[in-house]
Amino acid sequence: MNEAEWRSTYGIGGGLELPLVSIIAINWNYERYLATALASTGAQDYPRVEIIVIDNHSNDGSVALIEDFVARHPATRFIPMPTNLGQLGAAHRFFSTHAVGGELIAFLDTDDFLFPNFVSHHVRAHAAFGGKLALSSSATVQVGPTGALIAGGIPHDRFIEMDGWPRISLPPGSTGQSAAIQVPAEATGWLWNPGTSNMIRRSTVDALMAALPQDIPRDHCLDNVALPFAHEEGGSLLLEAPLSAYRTHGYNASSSMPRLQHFNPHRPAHIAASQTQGAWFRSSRIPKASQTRP
Amino acid sequence: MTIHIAGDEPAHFTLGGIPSTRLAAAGEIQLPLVSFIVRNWNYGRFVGSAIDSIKTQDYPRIEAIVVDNASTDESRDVIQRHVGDAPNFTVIHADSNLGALGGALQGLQEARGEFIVFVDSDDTLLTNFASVHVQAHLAGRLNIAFTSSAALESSGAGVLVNGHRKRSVIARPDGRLDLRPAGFVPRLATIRDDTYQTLQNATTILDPRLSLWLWPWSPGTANMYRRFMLDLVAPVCDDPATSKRLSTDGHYNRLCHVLGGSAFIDMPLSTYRIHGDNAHASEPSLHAMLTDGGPATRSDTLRIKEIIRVLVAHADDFSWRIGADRYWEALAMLLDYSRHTGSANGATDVSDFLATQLPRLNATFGEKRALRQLAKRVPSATLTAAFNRHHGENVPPEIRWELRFVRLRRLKAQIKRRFRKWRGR
Repeated sequence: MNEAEWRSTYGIGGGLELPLVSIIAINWNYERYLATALASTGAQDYPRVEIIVIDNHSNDGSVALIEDFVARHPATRFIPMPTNLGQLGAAHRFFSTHAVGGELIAFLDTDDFLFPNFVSHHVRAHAAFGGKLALSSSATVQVGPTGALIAGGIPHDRFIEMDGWPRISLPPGSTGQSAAIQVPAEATGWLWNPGTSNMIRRSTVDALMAALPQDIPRDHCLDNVALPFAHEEGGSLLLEAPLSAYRTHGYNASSSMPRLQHFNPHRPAHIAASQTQGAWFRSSRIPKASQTRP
Repeated sequence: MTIHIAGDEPAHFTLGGIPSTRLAAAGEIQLPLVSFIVRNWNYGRFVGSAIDSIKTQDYPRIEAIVVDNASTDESRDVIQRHVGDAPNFTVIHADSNLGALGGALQGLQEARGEFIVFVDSDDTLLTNFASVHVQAHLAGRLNIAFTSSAALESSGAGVLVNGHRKRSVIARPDGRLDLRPAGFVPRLATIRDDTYQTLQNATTILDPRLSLWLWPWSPGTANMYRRFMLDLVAPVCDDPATSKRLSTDGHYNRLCHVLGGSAFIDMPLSTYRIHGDNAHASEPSLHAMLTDGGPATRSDTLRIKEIIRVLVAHADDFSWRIGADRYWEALAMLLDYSRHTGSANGATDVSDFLATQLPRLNATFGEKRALRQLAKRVPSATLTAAFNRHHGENVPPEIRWELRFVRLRRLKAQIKRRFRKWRGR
């Protein structure tokens, strides 16, 4: 869409300059799903998108797929890592060594993919808050390895509707009414949809990256750290519309399973790893978000 | 040769008004595959209608596996004729009668669908069966393990005799809708807006903590399960005499419900055929599917024991996935079977059976912990008898010591429960 079309579709007037959005895809050996993920970045209907693809030294066919995508979308920035630094490690290395154009950042796990209206809906939410929003998180559908829908939503650790947080309406435009729930920074616990569902203000990501220590264990993932950090800064806005697809690899008992509210799909080892990372995050002298800002 | 031009393909669903063909690169997002597994044993006069009712489903992604349990009537020819050259049909001829659940397991080996429907060959599906069930699964307020819909009763000749099958009715609280608003969920093209609204009013999500002695579901053909759940709770008994008498709904409904919850769709989507000779013409493996499927028959001791065996066999995994409280509650509820099935030597049978399950429970949780969890929920006499039987003459001193307090522990748990209930009012 061009800018005028976009403004009329999403109900944003001419007063606000449209922010540039950086989609940062971090890939490691997801050859099987990578093309779908990259195609979904190129298909965004928002007019001002910067696509950045970081490859964590994959040893499958990922690099060829990325080069193919870059050939068709020459503005894409391809950043190969010299070695696998892990998801958080790669993001940290990238932010310490490169400039990022976007005022808003969406990280993309390359086994997931975005719907074409993902960036638009998130930008609209950030615009409605006049840039004061640190983090928006949208609902997501679950798909299987072949892209078959397996659920229309993904469970949170807690049921949002029960907490009585304010529900706000976003400008409808021609996409229909759309609502979001505003969660105050005081609220604790895991509130967000996973990886590919979030948009964070760049200044917040910059503050986080500056605060992280140099040596980051390879198994640490980005959202475990970035989402609580951003939330602390200004609360979270949870968009009710599903704007991306979260992929569960394999529907059988031996691999990971679809997520149901009444059923814990994780393995004990996964929870243990998350706890380890939580402890690392708290102990690695990361100042609180509020302290890093003047 | 058919040429497909991108953009001309029909969208199978929309999400927030966007057609599925535009949500992702071509073919990268699609509706789930639904596998129908038809089990047949000597129902040559009915199986053709069952197959036809699958072929006429309006849902775009289906496959069917027809398992013939070594029928001796005209079934083979009827199946051949009705399946014809349908590309998404597989026919399996079993060498012997595997029973209802055995046939289902055979079919499951071939099934690739994310969702599974077991079809009894004397039943039929309405054309919107798969569409409505998938829509409910994809739109639920919660993601649940299976959906069950109402069934029409028909006579042998297919004439409608009753609008509803008997079941326990669980009411949804006033004002709660268990399907989310249409704008936020994948909306199937085969479900019209007014049908979606009807479905929203007709669907009730059932909490997994619900008493397992209620039967809020329809029998056999009316259920659609998540495949991975069926794999998790596969039967464990290796005694063919027992496994032949297990049924799919009798085994899977309670187990899937305990692990993931379920939903009831109060819209008739299949027919359940009552035919004069069903109880006698079938052999025991098919017995329960063909007599009244009400709570009494469902509570057959044999099936409950197999359900308990599955829960115990996966004690470590399941208690982690659903939490210790829900796990032990479910186990204790099921161990109450003698009161519900009216078995002859009730309490003795329960303690004897529990004794056979103790080695696994003790190994998983530690004997003292298992004993304490059970003591909170199982009658002390049953429990003491089970532990005594398990140890024979040599009950370890610390267990003997613990057993003195089981009555007290149960009392304490009961008071606690009453207090919580009272406070919750």
